[in-house]
Amino acid sequence: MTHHSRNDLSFSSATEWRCRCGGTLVPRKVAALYMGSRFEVELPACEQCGFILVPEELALGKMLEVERILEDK
Amino acid sequence: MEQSRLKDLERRCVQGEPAYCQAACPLRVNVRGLCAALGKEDYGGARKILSKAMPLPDILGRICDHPCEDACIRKEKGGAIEIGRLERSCLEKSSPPAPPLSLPSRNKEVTIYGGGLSSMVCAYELARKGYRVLLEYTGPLPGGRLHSLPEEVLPKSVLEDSWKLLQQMGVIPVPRKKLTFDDPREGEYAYVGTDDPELEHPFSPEEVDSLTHQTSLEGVFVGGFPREGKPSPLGETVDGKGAANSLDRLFQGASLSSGREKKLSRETRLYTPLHEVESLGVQENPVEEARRCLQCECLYCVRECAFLEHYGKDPRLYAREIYNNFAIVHGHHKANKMINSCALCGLCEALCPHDFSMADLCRSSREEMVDRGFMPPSAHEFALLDMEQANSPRAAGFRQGEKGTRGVFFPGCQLTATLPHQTEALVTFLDEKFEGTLGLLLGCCGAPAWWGGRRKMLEERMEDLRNTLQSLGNPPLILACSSCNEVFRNFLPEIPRISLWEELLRKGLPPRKPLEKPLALHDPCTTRETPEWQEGARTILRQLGQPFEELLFSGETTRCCGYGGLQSFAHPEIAEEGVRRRLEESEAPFLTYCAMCRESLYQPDRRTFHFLELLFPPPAPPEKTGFSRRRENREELRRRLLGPPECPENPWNRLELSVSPEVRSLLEERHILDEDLRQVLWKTSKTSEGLLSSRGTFLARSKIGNATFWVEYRQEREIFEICNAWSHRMILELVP
Repeated sequence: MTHHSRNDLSFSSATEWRCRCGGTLVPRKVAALYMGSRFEVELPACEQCGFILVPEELALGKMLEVERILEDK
Repeated sequence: MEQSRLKDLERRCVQGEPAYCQAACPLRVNVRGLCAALGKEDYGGARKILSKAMPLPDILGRICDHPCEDACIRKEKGGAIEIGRLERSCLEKSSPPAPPLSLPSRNKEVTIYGGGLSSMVCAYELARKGYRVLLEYTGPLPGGRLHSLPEEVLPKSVLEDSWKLLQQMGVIPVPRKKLTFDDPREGEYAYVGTDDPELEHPFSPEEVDSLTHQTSLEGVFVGGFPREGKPSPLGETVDGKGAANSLDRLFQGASLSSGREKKLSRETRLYTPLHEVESLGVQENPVEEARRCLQCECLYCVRECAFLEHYGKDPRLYAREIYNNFAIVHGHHKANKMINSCALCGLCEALCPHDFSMADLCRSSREEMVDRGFMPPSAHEFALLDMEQANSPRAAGFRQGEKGTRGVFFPGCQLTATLPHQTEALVTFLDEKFEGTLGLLLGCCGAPAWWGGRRKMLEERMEDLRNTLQSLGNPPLILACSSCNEVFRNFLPEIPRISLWEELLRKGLPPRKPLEKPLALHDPCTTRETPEWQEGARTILRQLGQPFEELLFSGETTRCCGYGGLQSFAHPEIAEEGVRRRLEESEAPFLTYCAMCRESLYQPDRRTFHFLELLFPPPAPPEKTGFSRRRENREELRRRLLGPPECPENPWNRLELSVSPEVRSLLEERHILDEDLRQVLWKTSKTSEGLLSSRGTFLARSKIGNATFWVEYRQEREIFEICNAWSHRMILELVP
């Protein structure tokens, strides 16, 4: 497992979502794992239950790009 | 990939071969480059190109015999480029450069007898290499025969300037009243230029080695004889340059002949297709004339293939890049995407004069990538899962004929998926024709595994099919899909096969009225090597009386629709460009006999028909089916033709979705299936997990296989209205 710091994956803009458990989403430290790599990013997650949101633009943008790079390693 | 394979591939590609004009020139002048520079009015650049191969270009460039013009293939399209005139124009419009830098003095001396062109060239070449050169001549100025040329052909000033240049380079003038060469002085090294008419010498051409210009006298080299009975300025230049080379080799102790035969060859393996070149006559203006140059190269495959063109290289470089991709142990495999972007359609091989096949190269590379574990997992996963569904008990199965099995119809997984009603009508029709002896086999042949480099998966599929067919008594297979035919042809060759089109011709076509308008016939790329499929299709059209037109690229050189080789999964932009080009070939509606060609060529404003739509016309024109509907169609047709599957229905199947056309197109583009949406909704309905938006929509998330899917929806009673969906493959965990 390789450890990286990938702050460019972090998503800090305000989100329109709130958790069904009643908690609010706050930036939280999250580990992203793929193809044997692991790096830490900050993503919106529920302060109560820990549900992590991967917003659409992140999933289809930077995250996809990093997935492709890791797949070609 | 073995290095020997790389070498073989590089040798096949003729793109690096010299142009016809350059091959015809014994000096190997880069005429293509010269014309390109002149075409841009870059006279200095043109002179530089000329000087690189031509010693004393100011003389020869004005009087060359230019065999290049005879070799120019433009002659078939308006006349050969007048290269001689272009050279003259380049020299007249640019200034002669400073004398070339000479190598340090080598303390060796050569005497040159004669002041003709060959002697001047020999002196130039030897002086450049640092030898001490003495040039013996008669009259006020060297030049020999050149003095007799008219002023407008070769101005006296050019000869004077060239002689000045030679002296600046250190050539020592030795003017003689009478010019003779009998025997060399002891230890003398000499060149005898017989093109000076004033020189008396004992040599005849037969006594001189044509390659090295050696004679029986040690250290004496001779050249400048006429060519085919006529003086040849080019021949004289070649002799002077060649003799200087021999003398240099002699002084260096090197072989005089090694490696020189090849240089004499006037052959090129280059192939430049002319069918798209428009005829254009000779232009008076030299710049316009230079622009008429075709800049001969091959790149035939590259020009006609959206994939090869996309990466902007020639096949030799692709082969090298792929070879290097395998050499990487740690690091970025940069060529992965390129390797996966080829449609494996074989058009390059059909066009290439030496059968260079990117398809073979990319297919075997994909297999090697899978074996060595660096095939990107996401590249073909969606297509392989589609194949898995097509072979699942819900979509696949077989039945024997009621009265025995004399043939098995295998429609293939995409025909059942895109044209289920026509497939059903066809099966009913064939059942009648076979009088109860038709077997039916539904499923996928395994082509996606083959294209994706998954050899083991393909072999497992072949084993399954082999066993099933054996259980039916190995009757002949009737195939509707040419890709299935390619798989069977390569991996189950022992099973007898026939195309549906030939079988229909045998049994008789259903009575149908042709469409009035002519249709553009698109041959699927997997029929490239099976002319019987192509001919069967055409015979059906003739029997139906259906007017059709042949496309520019058809038959053996047909184009791929972008589905081949899973191109549209690995690189959708290239696949779309291929479709765009294909549809540009005709304004008529298209007609094809492959279900995926029909699906890929589909445009909202442009109909592409499948043959089965002519034979079993639908009440309304069917639209593009899409991934989700294709899966549902397979399962539904399986139920209709073979009965319900034995496995229980998935619990999420009954969830009712509402999807707008905009969201549908987004789901298709993102490869998100209704099945995925249903699974996410069903799984999350069991929990209270998820998010809510201020708009009143819910966001559910679930991991299915290797991807995590996100579904934004609204629920109205029992109906889920899908607003958006996306997915990713990374796994996320909270850091405590």
